[in-house]
Amino acid sequence: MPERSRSPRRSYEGVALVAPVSVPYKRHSDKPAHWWIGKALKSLADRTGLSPADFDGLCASSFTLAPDTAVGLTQHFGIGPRWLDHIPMGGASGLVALRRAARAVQSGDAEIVACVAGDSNSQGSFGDLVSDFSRFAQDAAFPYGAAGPNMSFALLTRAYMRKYGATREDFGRLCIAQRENARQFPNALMKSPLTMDDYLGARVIAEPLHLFDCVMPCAGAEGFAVMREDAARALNLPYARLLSAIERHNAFPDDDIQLRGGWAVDRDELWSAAGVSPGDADFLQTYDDYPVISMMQIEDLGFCRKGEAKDFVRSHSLTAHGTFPHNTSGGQLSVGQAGAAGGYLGLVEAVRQLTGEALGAQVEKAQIGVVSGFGMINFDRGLCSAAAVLAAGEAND
Amino acid sequence: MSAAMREFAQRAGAGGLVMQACAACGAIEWPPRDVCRRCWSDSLQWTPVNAAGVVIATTMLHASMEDFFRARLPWRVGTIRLAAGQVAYAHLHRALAEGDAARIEAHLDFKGRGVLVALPVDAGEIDQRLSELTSTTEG
Repeated sequence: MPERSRSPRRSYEGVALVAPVSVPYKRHSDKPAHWWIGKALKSLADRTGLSPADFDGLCASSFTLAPDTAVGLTQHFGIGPRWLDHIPMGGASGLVALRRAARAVQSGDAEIVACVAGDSNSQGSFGDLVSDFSRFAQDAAFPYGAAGPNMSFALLTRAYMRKYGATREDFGRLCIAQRENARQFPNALMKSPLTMDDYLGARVIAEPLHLFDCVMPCAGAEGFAVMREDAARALNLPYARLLSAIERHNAFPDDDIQLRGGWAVDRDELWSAAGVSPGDADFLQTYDDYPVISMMQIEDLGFCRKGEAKDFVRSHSLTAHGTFPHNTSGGQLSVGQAGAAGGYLGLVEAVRQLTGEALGAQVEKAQIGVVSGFGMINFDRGLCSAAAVLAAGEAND
Repeated sequence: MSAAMREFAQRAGAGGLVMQACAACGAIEWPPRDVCRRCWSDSLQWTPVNAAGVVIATTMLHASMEDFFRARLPWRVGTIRLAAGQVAYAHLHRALAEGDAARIEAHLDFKGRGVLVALPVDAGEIDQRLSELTSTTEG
């Protein structure tokens, strides 16, 4: 188990998240990732009233940008930023981008950072992405049935169910509540009502995973901008504040199988730095590539004890107007997984909720929101975990 | 396939189980790599290791991206804790369940990939699918 850092972290005081943008998803797209990311940037410029040259920082994430990286995007989009980052962390990308960008604007290395993620999804490209995902996956995971991440998640879901007594109905509760949220979210690809019978009766993919446990790969893009609070106020932009944020990579390497993530290492620091506790959160956006991962985040972030997420989802209503609003846009399970943009979806939705700009269901009087990310099944487990506590900006009170 | 994995594949199918052992600290590595995960030494040597393991989790795959498996669904795989120390995926004999002891063998699959196969400790019935996995050649 990794040693916890004992060095005190400086606060994220004065950092503002503004202009949550989404480029509506498409199941398949022949347009390259550059187009999707460019559309997100244009939306950011339109929303903030800024011109391309005003963004002096750029942070990008994508699985389908090859052979380019964020470097190539500067020339493609004709900008000359003085701060540039490329975050290849899948479902943790949005939160890690936020952490990097926040320090950049605090230190003065950049004033306005555009954080964007986007991916294309042409017919058949998902198989290439999965079979070439990482060296360890190519060598020692993919050959075992060529099922991609479904195999790894089937095995850890099975182990989680056996250890903690969670049932398919528990996962179903989570998926059904998210579908209810998605029915009001304009960008969701899946909006038809989902019943428990639909969920339980769906086609089996990799036991115990069935169709509605798996996200639908699609094309799309998400983004937001990071700047100082005073800059956001000067631009008259509603904003969210960053109270605290954590990340951790390759936590618990000696566990037989992944039943917990890096949040369990760092959550005390997350809450103490934020100065709030789990009960203060008005909503939670988890990374939901599979429902078991959302259950792990609910536990490892401290919303309930380990192994008790099953009881938590049985005793709460998880819709945007429920007792525990969770994945209020519908999450990836209902909106779709647009590659690395899936690692932005919850964060962008959180900023919308805290600035009163929800596209779908608005959580009433949302003041404190928690966002969690998870990424990169390099071999047998997700290596990247991240989380942030956000608060509504003062101007929105 | 990485160069280290090619070296594993060259040693697969000869019976027993051979993995990289760190000459500096003794750690057994899986998946094959270039530098020891414990001490960062690059002195990794292919060594016969204990072929025992315990089944941690199992699944039946009902979808696959490769024709060989598609023709033989559902396909059984699992997570194994090796007595040698590491966790690995393996093709599973149909008789194996969670908690069972297993004997791990290295084989070449239908594409010439080096793969681990988990078998019951007591030689049971032959699992026809596993025989096809290691005897079929697709080139």
